[in-house]
Amino acid sequence: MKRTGKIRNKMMAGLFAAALLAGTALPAYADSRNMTVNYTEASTYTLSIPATVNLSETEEVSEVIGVSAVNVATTEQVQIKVSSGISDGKVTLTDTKDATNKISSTVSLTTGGEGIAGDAVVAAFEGNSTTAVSGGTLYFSALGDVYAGSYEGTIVFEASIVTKTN
Amino acid sequence: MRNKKIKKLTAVLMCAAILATAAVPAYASSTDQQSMELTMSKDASFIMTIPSTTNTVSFGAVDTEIGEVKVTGDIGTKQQVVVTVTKTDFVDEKDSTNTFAFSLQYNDADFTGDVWSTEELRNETKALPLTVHIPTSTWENTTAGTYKATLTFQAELQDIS
Repeated sequence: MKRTGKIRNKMMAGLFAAALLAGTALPAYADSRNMTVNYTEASTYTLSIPATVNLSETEEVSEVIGVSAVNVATTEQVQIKVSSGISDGKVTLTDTKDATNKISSTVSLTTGGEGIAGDAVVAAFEGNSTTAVSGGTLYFSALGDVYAGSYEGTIVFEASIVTKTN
Repeated sequence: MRNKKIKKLTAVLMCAAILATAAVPAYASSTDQQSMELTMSKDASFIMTIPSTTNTVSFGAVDTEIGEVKVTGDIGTKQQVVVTVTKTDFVDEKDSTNTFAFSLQYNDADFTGDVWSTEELRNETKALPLTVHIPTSTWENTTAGTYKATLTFQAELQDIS
């Protein structure tokens, strides 16, 4: 008798507990998560330098140097400098049949201008524009009267992506 | 001990996740070089000037000046112009077997040609006056008639080492 009563009481307690749980309003939390999406596009450029430039005894010669494609970050710039071939603002050409016979031409960034310094930036590009923000055209002064012959000289240009300073 | 290992493993996984999501700037190339060749070519040229086409030698004249030979122009520093002269004897126009010899001279010496250098061409300073020299003894043995001789000048541009 007592044993049956205890079991009945426990069952009732369990049922009441279950009822309480079923009827109680349980707190619901809003679950949010963050997902980071990244996109990276590399800064690129294609250097475009004329392979050959023919100079003149009597006239200044100009030539455009630059890039044929460019896409750099807004904080960057593509800069083209002279790596070798210009000394004291001049390029020297040598007679192919007489190494002692040399002629020279002043190289400048403006027509009739002063020769460029050895480490000068001769052209700079930003964003995705192939129009130079500075420089971009080289001017070669007239050679003057020279001996007959064939002359050759070389300028090497170097381009790099740098962080803008302003 | 086991908890420490779990913590370390968790830390490593977290670092890997951070690195995987970090944006790393990438460049197509750090530096790029290209060359530009500068050229200039000027052809060699020269003009040879010789004595007048026709010069008259008076009968009995031992030395008759006929004019200058010179070369001007613009040639390479490793080039020269070589001038040579050949001549015929004086030949009787009505009798080809009737001839007499003479010498062409420069500075009282027989002249068969000379060389002009690059600078001599440019400076136009080398002009050689030529003389037809016929000794008296030749005239004494020459019969009356009209005689003609021909001088042929040839100029050649040469490379020198």
